Amino acid sequence: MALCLITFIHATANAQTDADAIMMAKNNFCVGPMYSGSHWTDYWEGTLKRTNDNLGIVSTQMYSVMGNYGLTSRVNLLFSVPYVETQASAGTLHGQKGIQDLSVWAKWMPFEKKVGPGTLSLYGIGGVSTPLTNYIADYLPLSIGLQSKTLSLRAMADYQVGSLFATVSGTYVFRKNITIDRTSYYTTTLHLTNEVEMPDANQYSIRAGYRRTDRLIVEGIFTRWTTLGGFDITRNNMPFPSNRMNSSTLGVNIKYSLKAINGLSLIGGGDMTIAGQNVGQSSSLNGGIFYVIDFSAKHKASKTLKKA
Amino acid sequence: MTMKNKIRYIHIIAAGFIVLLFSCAKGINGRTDVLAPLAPAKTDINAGDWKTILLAGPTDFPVAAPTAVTSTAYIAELNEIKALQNAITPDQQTKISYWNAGSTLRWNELLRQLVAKYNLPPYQNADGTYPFPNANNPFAYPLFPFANPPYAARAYAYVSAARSTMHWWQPGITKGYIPVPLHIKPMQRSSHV
Repeated sequence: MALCLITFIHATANAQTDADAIMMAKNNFCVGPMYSGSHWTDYWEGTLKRTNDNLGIVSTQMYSVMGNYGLTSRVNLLFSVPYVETQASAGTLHGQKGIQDLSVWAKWMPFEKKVGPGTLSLYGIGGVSTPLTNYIADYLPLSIGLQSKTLSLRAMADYQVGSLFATVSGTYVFRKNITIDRTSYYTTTLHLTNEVEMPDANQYSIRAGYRRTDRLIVEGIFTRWTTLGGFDITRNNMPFPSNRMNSSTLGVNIKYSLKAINGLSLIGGGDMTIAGQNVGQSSSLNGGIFYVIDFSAKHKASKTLKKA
Repeated sequence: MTMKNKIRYIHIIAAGFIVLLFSCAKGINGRTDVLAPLAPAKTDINAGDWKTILLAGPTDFPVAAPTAVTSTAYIAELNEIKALQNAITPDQQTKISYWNAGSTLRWNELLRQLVAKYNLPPYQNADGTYPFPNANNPFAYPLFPFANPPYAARAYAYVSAARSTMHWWQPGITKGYIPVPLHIKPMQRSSHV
């Protein structure tokens, strides 16, 4: 859910999210804690891949609460609130910690039909995110976020044949300008203001694998994030919030729904950055526990609705 | 959910997006991007009598007297200027507005920009030592770290001195053509960075 925050932080969570083709049934609320830990030693300064003795290993821990409520079986509302902690193993830069940005998403499935041997479904997804605390953005790579308010619009298509599926999605992320604690700053020119122009970004994602929504999902995920503008980190300089941060990540995600306790599921996964620009080459692991609460009185058993 | 409700939800969501979109105006303005033209309190009409610092006196660099105002060359030049003024492009107008804020301010900003740009150590050699810039090829990487405080102070001083040592021709002064003496003010001004 925090994919829109790909930065040096690279706190991603690939669990049941705004980016997958799973809809909660009406009045079902899936909620749970999620942990994600990532670290990197190498990073791309512009296109130059390097290490930095003044940083050592940069690690990020992210603890978040995520939820997904089925307004109807075709309209879901999702949210996420992460707490992020960063640390560098060497050098003098202090790690940062705090509550980061609230994300709220609406996921709408206007189309679901049998097409050929499988089922095709289409989704329109919109999300906003806003910082919940006044953390420092201009302290990369150790700041916990970028302070930018964002609006994401995503189109997604999913096709499932039996238990095999593939999902593709494309997202455009509008990002609002931010202000930093400086009266002037230099990017490629001098700016005599504390306002920083944040370039928009886009993201596309392909995921495919095995899916039996009620029991087990195993999927591989490729995600490409491209910042539409910005500048390269200047040589030997700190990163800046409006850098052109690009990254390609490959990941695996597993979700297992327990038989013994209905509604309880475990998720886990990991990903690694395979290419990038102005980002850390991070690898991350994540895990979480989700429980589905059924607010509709009529059935006790709660489950995700889609394509069992 | 009824169809009507569904449509209502979609409308609410869409409206929210649109409101946000329009509030996402990009583009930033610096404090000094738009300034009224500088109106100096004093014209320094007697600048020719100031004590010079780098020069022995105003006559070190004599400036040729302009041609007579009645000469063809003068009139042609004047007409050329008038023609150019009548055909100012928006880009030229922007530049005029920019420099109207005063050259002391603008040159100071340009210097600050250079200081900010060069205020970085060069990328280290494989053995962890720092490479030396090549004096014969000063614009090649590694760049000179010309923005450490002593270098930066010197750069501000050079540009302030060069900027202030401008020549002008002033009618009514029989002595001839005077350079503007190095005004101490721009130097003091530059020291705040």
